[in-house]
Amino acid sequence: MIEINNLVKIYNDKRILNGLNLSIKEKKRTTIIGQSGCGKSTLLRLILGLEKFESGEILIDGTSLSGLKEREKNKIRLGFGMVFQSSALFDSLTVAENVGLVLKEHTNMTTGQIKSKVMNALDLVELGSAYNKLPSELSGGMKKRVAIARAIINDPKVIFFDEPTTGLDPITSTVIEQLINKLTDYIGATSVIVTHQISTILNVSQEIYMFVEGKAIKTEAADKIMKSKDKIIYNFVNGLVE
Amino acid sequence: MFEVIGSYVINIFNILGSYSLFCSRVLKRVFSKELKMSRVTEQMYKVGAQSFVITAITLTFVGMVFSSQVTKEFLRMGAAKIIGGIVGFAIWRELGPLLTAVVVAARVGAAISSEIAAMKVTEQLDALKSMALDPYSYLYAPRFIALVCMLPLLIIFADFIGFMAGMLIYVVVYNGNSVAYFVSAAHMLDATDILAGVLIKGPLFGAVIALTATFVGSRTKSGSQGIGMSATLAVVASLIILFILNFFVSFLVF
Repeated sequence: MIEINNLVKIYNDKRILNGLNLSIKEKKRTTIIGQSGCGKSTLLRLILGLEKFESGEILIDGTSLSGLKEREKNKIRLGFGMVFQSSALFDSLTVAENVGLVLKEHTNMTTGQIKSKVMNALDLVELGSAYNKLPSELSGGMKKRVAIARAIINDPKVIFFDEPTTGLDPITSTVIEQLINKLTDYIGATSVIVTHQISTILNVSQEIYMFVEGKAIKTEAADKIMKSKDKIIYNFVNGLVE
Repeated sequence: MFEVIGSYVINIFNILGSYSLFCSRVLKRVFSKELKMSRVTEQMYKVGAQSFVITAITLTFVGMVFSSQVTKEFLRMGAAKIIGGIVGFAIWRELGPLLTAVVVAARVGAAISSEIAAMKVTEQLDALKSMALDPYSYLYAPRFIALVCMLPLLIIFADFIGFMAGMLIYVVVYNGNSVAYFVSAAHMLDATDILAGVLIKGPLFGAVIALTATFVGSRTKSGSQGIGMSATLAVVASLIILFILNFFVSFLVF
């Protein structure tokens, strides 16, 4: 589905990603963990083509992102959904307009058809009542749910979640984690979740990679990771400082 | 020492290069199919219609104070016949276009820059791109077209208001003759005086404000401080470019 080979990304002379290799399997929930600043979110931005990388290769269904024109990248992007860390809802648009924007701009659907799809997506995240509200009227958890509804509206093949539960209370985090599991299964999408929240790692992961020194290490499954035999992974998930 | 100067010069050329590239991309999108008229009209209302009142207030008082100063001195010199023409020259050639642009740069330029900056720091620009929407077509080009179209209209309005405010002072305070004021202006002003301000300075100044505000906003680094700095920088940079450009246009045209 998504293959990453020898990826190198440098920020301010620092190799954030240093020959990273990673394989994201179709219809699996792959979680990427690691310390702050280790390049987890950067990887999502590179896959989405929001930033350029120094060397290496990103293959999406066998197509390399390198050298693609913006128009070709846009075609690939339409197969993706992205939930940003800050939710990134458009302040000037209502919840319904935010969720329906991609359909309005990229399809020939009528206003009625878009409205129906938007209502359906909002119902899935249990926010049908927020249809006409502005993002400023929503709580952090509600914004995240709207962002999820926006990410799934065009039935993407891959959904990326950047720190979906960071900054949320434990109950809201659980709600978001359940939504991630429910919705990615419902639309049959592959999902990539970047997080350092232990509850999210345990509740959503089917495959886990940890980023250490710019490289990805595949870890044990979620039910075994807390007792990992790898010292680095064990220390990270148990919050131990050396 | 040389290292500092060198890096400073390189930085300036970097910014100028980025600005040129940014402007060319915006101009390219103006003629692209991706541009939707609904977004342009929405911006026209925001940048144009909502600036009418502040422009009217500004030019009313500028017209009045200019007329007051000119009338007092010209009456003393016995040159009452040319007061309408002098006020007309000043308003139509310089004060109307330039002060309207200054007002719009302060009101609209700052608003555009801080809006784009806020979108940048809250990842909304990235969200647009991730949805295969081009910020140049979706955000920058509509604002560019709106300002290029609306600033000339605002200038026509501002020129008229400023000129009439000048006449009000001339007639009410100095007992001047309104017909003489108009006749003087009609004799002294030609089409170039009126049209250059509207048709050359208007679109040019509108383009400068739009391009500078969107460029500065799109380069915002991070945080609320960054948004504030972008708004300030957009206004300051726009004003500097406007004043320099105004000199050259006036020098070449009039």
